[in-house]
Amino acid sequence: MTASLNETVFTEQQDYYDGSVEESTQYVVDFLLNRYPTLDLEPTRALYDLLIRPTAELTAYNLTNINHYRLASSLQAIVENPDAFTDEDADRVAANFRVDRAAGTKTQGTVTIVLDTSRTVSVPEGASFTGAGLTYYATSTFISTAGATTTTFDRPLTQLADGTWAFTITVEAAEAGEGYDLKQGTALTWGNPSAGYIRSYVESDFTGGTDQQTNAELIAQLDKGLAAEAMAGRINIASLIRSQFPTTRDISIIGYGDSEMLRDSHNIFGIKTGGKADIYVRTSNRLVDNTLTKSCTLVDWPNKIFQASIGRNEYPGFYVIQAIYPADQSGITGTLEITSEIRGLDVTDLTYVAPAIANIVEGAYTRYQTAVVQFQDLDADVAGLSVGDTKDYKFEVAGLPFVDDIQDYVAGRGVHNPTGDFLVRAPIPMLLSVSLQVDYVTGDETVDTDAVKNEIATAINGIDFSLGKVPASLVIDAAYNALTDRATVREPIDMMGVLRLPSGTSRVYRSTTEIRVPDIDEEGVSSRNVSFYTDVTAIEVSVQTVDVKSV
Amino acid sequence: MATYDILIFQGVEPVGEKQVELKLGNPGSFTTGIQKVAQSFTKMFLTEVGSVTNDPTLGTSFLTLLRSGAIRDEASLESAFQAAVLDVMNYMSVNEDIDIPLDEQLAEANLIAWDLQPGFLSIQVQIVSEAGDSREYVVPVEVRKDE
Repeated sequence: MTASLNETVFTEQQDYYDGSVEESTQYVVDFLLNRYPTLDLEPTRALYDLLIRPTAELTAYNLTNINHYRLASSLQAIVENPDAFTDEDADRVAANFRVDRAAGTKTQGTVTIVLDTSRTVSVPEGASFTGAGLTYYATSTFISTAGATTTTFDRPLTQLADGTWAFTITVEAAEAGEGYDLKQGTALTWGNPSAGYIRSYVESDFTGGTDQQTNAELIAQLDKGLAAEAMAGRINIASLIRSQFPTTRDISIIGYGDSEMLRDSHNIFGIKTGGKADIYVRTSNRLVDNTLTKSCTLVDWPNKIFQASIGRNEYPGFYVIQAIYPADQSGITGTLEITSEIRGLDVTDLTYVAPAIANIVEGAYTRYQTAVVQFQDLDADVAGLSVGDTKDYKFEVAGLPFVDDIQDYVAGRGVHNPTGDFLVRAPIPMLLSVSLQVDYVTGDETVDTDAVKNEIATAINGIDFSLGKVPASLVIDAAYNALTDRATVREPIDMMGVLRLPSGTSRVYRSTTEIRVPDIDEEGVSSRNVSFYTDVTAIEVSVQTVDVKSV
Repeated sequence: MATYDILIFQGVEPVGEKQVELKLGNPGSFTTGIQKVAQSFTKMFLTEVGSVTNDPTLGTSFLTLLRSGAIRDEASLESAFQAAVLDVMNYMSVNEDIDIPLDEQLAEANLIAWDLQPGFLSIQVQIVSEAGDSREYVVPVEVRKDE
């Protein structure tokens, strides 16, 4: 008997045992009666309780384990019901196909700590910071300093516009998982603050947290493991990219014959000639914000209009500019009005020949995308400025990472398929917002709305290209993961999706039942290349108490 | 044809009072007839329902009630005993083979006498088989405070 003999193991495997204790009992009874027909082996008899039943239970247990181990080496059995097997079982089978489970990673990020004056403050290694119901720990000791930094622990103090002082530290999530990624500006509370501490917040988006692959996700990768990693068929290309960029969440490849392929029909007949492929890579389930500090040129003195350009290397393939604010401002409190945003292309060759891109519809969200932005700053003091002078502003830009890295990789001479033209794109974004109401019974545990929002965000951000819609049922089901007792979701829920097309225009979709990706041929848009994104700040959960009759 | 079970009540005599021990004999013995009925009944009567893995219906609530203090007087004892007998009869009717001889089938179990003391209960039980023969025996039950 092994140490693993316990009720849990026994129960979990019942579905996979084609017998039962009763069948084993009958087997033992029949076996004994065949030899000793005068034995009384009925239930309640001593022979039954002391001999038959224990033997039958052990027999059933052994058969169950034997059956389990037999099935655990069966790819077919694991594919049919992956969650019924242990991680070790699935890992062993997956390893036969050169596929390893992606381990979860911990989010890391930078936290800004604001102090009342310029003073020396020590943040010990392991100091805790909490926010949005999550905990993070300082990765090492950090010491604020107004003087020169002489050790790796020293962090320079900078004065903010409001007269306070700030320095930054690095923290790591308490546990692995994508749920620990946080948006820029999220308030974090220092668990054991020093004197002079005012507040702390996320300096720039916390990213990099990933959940460990589930058995189902692991098994779904098997075809990628078997496929040759090469710029050939869709499975091969996907396998190559996943092997080189393991955080890639979803891939869709548009090529010859697809209605979404616009780049292969630039000829006098306008017919599709093939030879080109657009590779849509979702490299993060959530949008990742980057802060760009830009020197902006005053272009309209009376109206206080400033202009800046975003080069193709500053945030390759970015989606949207979320906010613009003066560089000396402490944190984001809003955004200046963007009066004009024109996306462009910079297709000058890098170390390889650039793919053929005719216009922004074909080149939006690629590493070749650029932008010229104009915005109005009515509070700007332009008295001492004239047209052509510059002023620093911060741009909060949302997009996906690694778009340029993947483009550079697949275009490398040793990797690139010499017969093809491959363009890597971030998926066309549809930004989702959700509003719903949760009812809970008076006296029951209060609804954790943050947890509900997190569950919904995780579910929506986890939708892949193969679904092509956000059904209300998915949102409601996710919400229930965070509900306890008698809390219920009240229908209908309200969902709104903003689809930012490659041309730069946006279309808004609103529904109580489902948000579905439309087919827009002139923009090359369909469910094959659109990804859904949302954030807890875009999810509104209202809570209402209800009374019920006592039973 | 008579059928046999292994004897776990050692020291039984055909008549008269005799201390009986619950254990396997050495060498072991087989039992049949009314003695086998009494053994099966007693064993199930004293098994707490829910205590047997994979057979949640085996046993009765008699000991559970006794330990909880629910058995305080003759009425509560009679009620608990009859309920337990009903459980035994139902279980046997569902699970037993109808072809076993009549003298090996339980027809009745009656509470003849009882003695309830703090921490101790003794009941005298009459067992009657479907063949009509019967026997009486005493079942002592000690209830410890820490149980």
